[in-house]
Amino acid sequence: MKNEQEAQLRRRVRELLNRGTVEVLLGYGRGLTGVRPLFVRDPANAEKLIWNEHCNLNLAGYLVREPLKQVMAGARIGLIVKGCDFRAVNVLIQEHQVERQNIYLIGMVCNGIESDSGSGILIKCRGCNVQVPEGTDEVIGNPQELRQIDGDPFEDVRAIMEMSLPERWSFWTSTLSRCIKCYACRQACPLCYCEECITEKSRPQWIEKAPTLSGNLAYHFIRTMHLAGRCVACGECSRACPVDIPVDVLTRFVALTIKERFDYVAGDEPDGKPFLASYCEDDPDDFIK
Amino acid sequence: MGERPIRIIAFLCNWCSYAGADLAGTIRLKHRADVRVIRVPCSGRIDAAFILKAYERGADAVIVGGCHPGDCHYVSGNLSARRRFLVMKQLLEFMGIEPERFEVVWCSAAEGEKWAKIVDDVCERISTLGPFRSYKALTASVLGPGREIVTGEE
Amino acid sequence: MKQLQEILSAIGSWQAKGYQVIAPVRRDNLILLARIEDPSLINLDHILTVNTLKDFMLPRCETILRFDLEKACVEPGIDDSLPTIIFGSRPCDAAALSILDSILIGDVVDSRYAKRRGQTVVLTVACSRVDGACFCKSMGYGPHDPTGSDIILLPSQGGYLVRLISEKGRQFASDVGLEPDDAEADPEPELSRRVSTDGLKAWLDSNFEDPKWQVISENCVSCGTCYYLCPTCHCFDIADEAGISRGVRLRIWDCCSFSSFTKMASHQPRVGKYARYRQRVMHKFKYTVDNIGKVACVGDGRCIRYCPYGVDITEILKALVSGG
Repeated sequence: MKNEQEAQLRRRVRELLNRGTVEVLLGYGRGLTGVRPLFVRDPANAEKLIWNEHCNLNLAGYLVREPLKQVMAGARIGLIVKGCDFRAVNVLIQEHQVERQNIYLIGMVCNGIESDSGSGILIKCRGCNVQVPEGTDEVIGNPQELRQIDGDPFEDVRAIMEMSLPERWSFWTSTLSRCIKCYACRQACPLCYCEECITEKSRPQWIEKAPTLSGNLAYHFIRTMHLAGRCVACGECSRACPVDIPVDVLTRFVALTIKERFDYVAGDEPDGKPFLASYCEDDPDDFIK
Repeated sequence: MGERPIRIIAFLCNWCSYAGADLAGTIRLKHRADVRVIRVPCSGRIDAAFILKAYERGADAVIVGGCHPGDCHYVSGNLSARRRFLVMKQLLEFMGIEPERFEVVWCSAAEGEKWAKIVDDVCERISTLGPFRSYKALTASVLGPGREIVTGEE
Repeated sequence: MKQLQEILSAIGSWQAKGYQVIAPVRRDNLILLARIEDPSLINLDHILTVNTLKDFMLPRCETILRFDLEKACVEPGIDDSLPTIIFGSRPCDAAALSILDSILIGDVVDSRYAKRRGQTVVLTVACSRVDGACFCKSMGYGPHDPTGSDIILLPSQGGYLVRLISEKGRQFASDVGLEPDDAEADPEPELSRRVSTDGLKAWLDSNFEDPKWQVISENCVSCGTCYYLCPTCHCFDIADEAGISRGVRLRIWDCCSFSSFTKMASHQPRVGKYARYRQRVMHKFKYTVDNIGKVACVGDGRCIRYCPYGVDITEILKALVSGG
């Protein structure tokens, strides 16, 4: 079947670059293991862009990393986003890391992302309500061809919630014992943009630098806290992990808690106040003595 | 077994909870002596890293205390902290840590009695639960038995 | 020729002689090299393990010393190295050890590394299969290459041929009664990925500053995956984990792509992601060549396989030397 959406995307990117609407565009290209980021500056290279059901990467993190971070001030940057990726862009806007007028967003109508292991549509796609991204500069794809993606996007999180406390402890300690502290999860996260991470601080040293079990647990706990009310559940952290730690199960558990207790979903409102930087008089306090 | 007593770390805000704990002493209330208090400017200052560092250094439980809503010296530090504490408590439990090992209290400068009661309650429950052995075992498991990084003061 | 089962059943007797055995095992969805107690858990149905022999020779965390200020005492970390058999790692990983040996047991000897190496026998199982990321041939090794191995098992008609490579290997084989064979092995599997290093060193020698460095490092997000999974990367950091009066000094891995790398010496001199990526390429393909006469890459392809953003070292080497 002809990939009309991809053809249209390439056409539009060529136009945008030719007209100078954007100077550089970041989209998906082909790599050894499927899909990888592709920077396009020359309109002729728009042909190398791809779009298909394997375009899992959330490219928003590149907005706050080299080299795009440096060109952000002057140039207009084009970025290809799925509805879910757009949430991460919104958090970056909310936190004043990105100026909306400096980016040109091409939203892709999305029918869900297939897992690379062949186990069907990714858990994160279930119940998606942003298959047609709203609020981007343009949308590519035909909303008529959408099929709804059913299921529970927190199934893996709930599986752990159903465990007893000792079972959870043993699950996390055995899983986190594999962590080698390569920080791929942090570097892949579109919202871990601190110039200096708490893991790099040694006066005082809050987190053990060594990949000991206590150091690993502290790192992942504190990282999860730093993403509370911010994580958009894109799953980049787990995708990047070389030793298969389901890092996003931690951050998505917190996202679920915040959704259920505070009715707050990160990235839905770029104009609102960040979750942990705000409060309501009647926030839940049933856990306080 | 020559088990050492339980040890509980309390992070208390300068303006209310710490003063409340102080009052408990001033009016000579008796409570269990297993709690060590660390004074912080505001409950809003209490970071997740404090809690984990306390466990790493041998705490069997952590209490965090702040002003009642509306009483914060900095207007809303405690209200911002409230959200964070809820998430922390849930996340600790999600990772398999008993909820009793992290308690949040609002305690005013006038509530010396409340503080004494909370200390006794928490100590009682932690004594029943026992020392936080699973956390203490963490470092040992990486470096091998007998080679754990003992950084706490026994 | 021996059947795999025969060899596996001998492992128990090696353990009985006091050797610890490191071999590939399955952990959840991963195949990892790990210390094994039960030889029946060994998994050889893999291309390459995620981790490398570096995990055991230059571990990700080791205690150098302990200190106690109150007692005013410092004592060295416990030496726990044991006679070790590495069973079932691949030729590229063994080749990487020969590179690490040249660096860490050179003019300056890393005593901890040297001690572990001295006690270790590497029993490689050569590759019957490769994948699209493997490029060992291009680095001068190959799926059946014996470099760095003490003993290598070559696949042959469903079984394995034992080849004794080093003196240490011969010694071990005679200790445990492992007979060598000289029959012909199956042909090496073909590698699809190739890269030429012709002209690379000369280019690196004279192009420290070049706009290409910015372009080739564009996708990199400065995580440590490629370093931590690399069998030859060996930079480390020293970290103190201490309480008020007692603590330990640890040696842990460090990575030149981190923005905090070498900060212990006041600052990170490589400002910019491209400069840090350049360091990685320069270290492997220029500095190590200058120092020990070998490239610090064995073409195991882990950096390509596991990079979350598709950074591909072979593609980059081609781009650097190409005219464009």
